[in-house]
Amino acid sequence: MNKMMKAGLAVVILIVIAAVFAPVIAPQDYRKQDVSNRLMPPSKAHVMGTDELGRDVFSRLVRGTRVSITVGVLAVLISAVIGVLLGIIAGYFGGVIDNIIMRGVDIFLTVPTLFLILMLIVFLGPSVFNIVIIIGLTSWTDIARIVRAEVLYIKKLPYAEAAAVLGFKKRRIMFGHILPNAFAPVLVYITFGVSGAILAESGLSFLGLGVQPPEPSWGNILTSGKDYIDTAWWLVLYPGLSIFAAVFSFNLLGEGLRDYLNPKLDREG
Amino acid sequence: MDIINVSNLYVKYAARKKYNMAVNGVSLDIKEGESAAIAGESGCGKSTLASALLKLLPENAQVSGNVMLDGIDVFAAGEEQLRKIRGNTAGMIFQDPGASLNPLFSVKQQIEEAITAHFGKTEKEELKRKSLELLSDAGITDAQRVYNSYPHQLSGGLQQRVMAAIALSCGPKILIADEPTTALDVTVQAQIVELLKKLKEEHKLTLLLITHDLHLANALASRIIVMYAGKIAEDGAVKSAKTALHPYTAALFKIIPSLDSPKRHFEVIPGEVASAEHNGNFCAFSPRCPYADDRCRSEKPELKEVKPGHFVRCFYPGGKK
Repeated sequence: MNKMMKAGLAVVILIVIAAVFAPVIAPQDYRKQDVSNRLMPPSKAHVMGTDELGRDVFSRLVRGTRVSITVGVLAVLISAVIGVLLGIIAGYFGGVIDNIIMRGVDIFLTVPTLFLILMLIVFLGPSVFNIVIIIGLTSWTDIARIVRAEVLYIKKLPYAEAAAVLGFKKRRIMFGHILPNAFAPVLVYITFGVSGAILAESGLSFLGLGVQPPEPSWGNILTSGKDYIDTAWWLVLYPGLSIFAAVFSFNLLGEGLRDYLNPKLDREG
Repeated sequence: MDIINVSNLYVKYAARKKYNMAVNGVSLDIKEGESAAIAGESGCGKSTLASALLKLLPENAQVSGNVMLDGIDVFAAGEEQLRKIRGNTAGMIFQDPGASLNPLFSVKQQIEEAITAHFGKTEKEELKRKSLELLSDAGITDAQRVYNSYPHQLSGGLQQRVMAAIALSCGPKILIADEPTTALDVTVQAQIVELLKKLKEEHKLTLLLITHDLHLANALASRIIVMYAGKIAEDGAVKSAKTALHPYTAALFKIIPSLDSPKRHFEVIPGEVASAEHNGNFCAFSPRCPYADDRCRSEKPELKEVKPGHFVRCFYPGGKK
C-alpha cells in the first residue's frame, strides 16, 4: 500500500462512516428551517454556515453523504453484476455468443452515456431509486470488456484446462475457477466506478434531475448555493469540496489497488 | 478388452482460409492395464491426439473419426456423459504442475472440490480422510502440511504429486500423463517416474504417456507409439535404436545424448518435421531418411505388422534393403 492509497482509503472510510452514522454526526436536524438565521456565515453554532432557509449546511452535507454513497455503491454493484456476467459469458463461450454480446456493447458505447441517463430520467422521473438503476444500467460496458479480456486469457491457462479435465461443470469452472482469478481488475474498476457514479449523481442533482429537495444531496445543495455565490461562498465551497474529496479519494484508492493487486509491481513502492 | 479405441482420427485446426492438419488418420487400440507411450517431436500431433481423447480440443479444431473410452463414444457424448468421462474414466496430469493448480485455492480446497464434483456432497471428516489418503498415496510424506498449503508454497515435485492425487481422486481407469516431467529437474523426474509406476500398479491403471523423451517412454511404458507428421510411424515394444524398425524411431533414440558415449557433439535429425498436411505419394519421413530411395519418394507406405504386435510404416523396416 502506498501513501496515496492510504490517504485515499482514510478519506473513503471517513466518508463511509459519515454516511452510516449521519443522524448521529449531524449536529442538527437537516430539515429544520430558521429563516431569521438565513445565510449565516460559518460560526460555532453552524460550522459550515446556514443556507437560504436557515438550515445547517454541515448537517445537510452529512445527510447528503448518505445519498451519494448509496447511489455510488449500489449503482456500481448493479453495473458490476451485469458487466461480470456478460463479460464472463462472452469470454468463456466465445464464438457467436461473444460476438453478439460484444457488438451489443459496441452499440451501447455509441450512445453518449450522459445523454442516455438524462433521457431515461426524464421518462422515469427523478428519484434515488431510479438514479441508482439508471446509472447501474448504463455503466456496465467497461467492466464487461475488462472481464472478457481476463477470461479469454485465463481460460487458456493450464489450471482452467485441468478443471475441465476433472469433469467440473462449466458453471463451476467459470465462476469458481476463472472468475476469482479475474477479480483483481474488477475490484479496481469498481472503486473507480464508485467515484464516477458519485460524480454522475451530483451532476444530475445539480441539474435538478437527481435527488429532489428538500432531501439534500451534494449536487442539489450546490445548485441552491449557486444563486448566492457572491454573498454566501460557504454554500458552494463545502458541497463542492465534498464531491471533490469523495471522487479524488476513491480514485486514489482505485489507483493504489491497481498497483497493490499487480504482482508484477514492487509492493513497497 | 480395449479400453482406448481410436479409429481413423483426423484433427485439423482452422486457420485463416485454410486448415492445418494435426492428426492425419490415426487408429489405435490400447488394452486395459497396458502402459503405452506416444512419442514424437514437437508438432507431430501427439498432444492433439491426447486432447482429442478427452474432447478437449480448442474451438477451431475439426474432428472426424471415432474415439471410444471404456466403451463410451467420446465425440457423441453429451455434456453430462463427458463430465463422467473426464475424471471418472480418465484422469490427466500436465506438463507444468505449477500452472495446472489454481493459484488462489489451497490444496485442500482443490482436492476436495474434485472429490465432491464426482461423488456429491461428502461429510467433512470423510473428505479430509480421503484427501490425506490420496496425498500420501501420491508419495507425499507430510500430507497434512501439503493439504493445508497453497500451490506456490510447494516445490515442483510436490505440485506434480498433488496433481496426480487430484487426477486419481475420482478413481479413473486411465491416466493420461502429458509430458509429466518436462518442467521438473532431473532428480525429481526420476521420482515422478517411480510414482507413476507405483500408482499404475496400485490403482490398476491404464497409463498413456505423451512424451518426446524416449528414455522416459521406455522407463514407464512397455509399448511405444511413435508419431510422425500426424500419423503413427511405429507401434510396438521398442527398447533401443537397435530394436527400432522405423528409421525415424532409431534416429530419435540416437539423438539422446548418453553419458558413456565418447562423442562430444549432439546428434541431430537433419531437416525439419514434416507437416501433417502432406498427402503426396511419398513417405513423409523420406526427405530426412538416410535409407530413402526412389520407392520412398514415389509411393506411400502403409502401417504394416512386421512382427506380432509390432507395426511399422516403412518399406524397409530396420533399414534393410
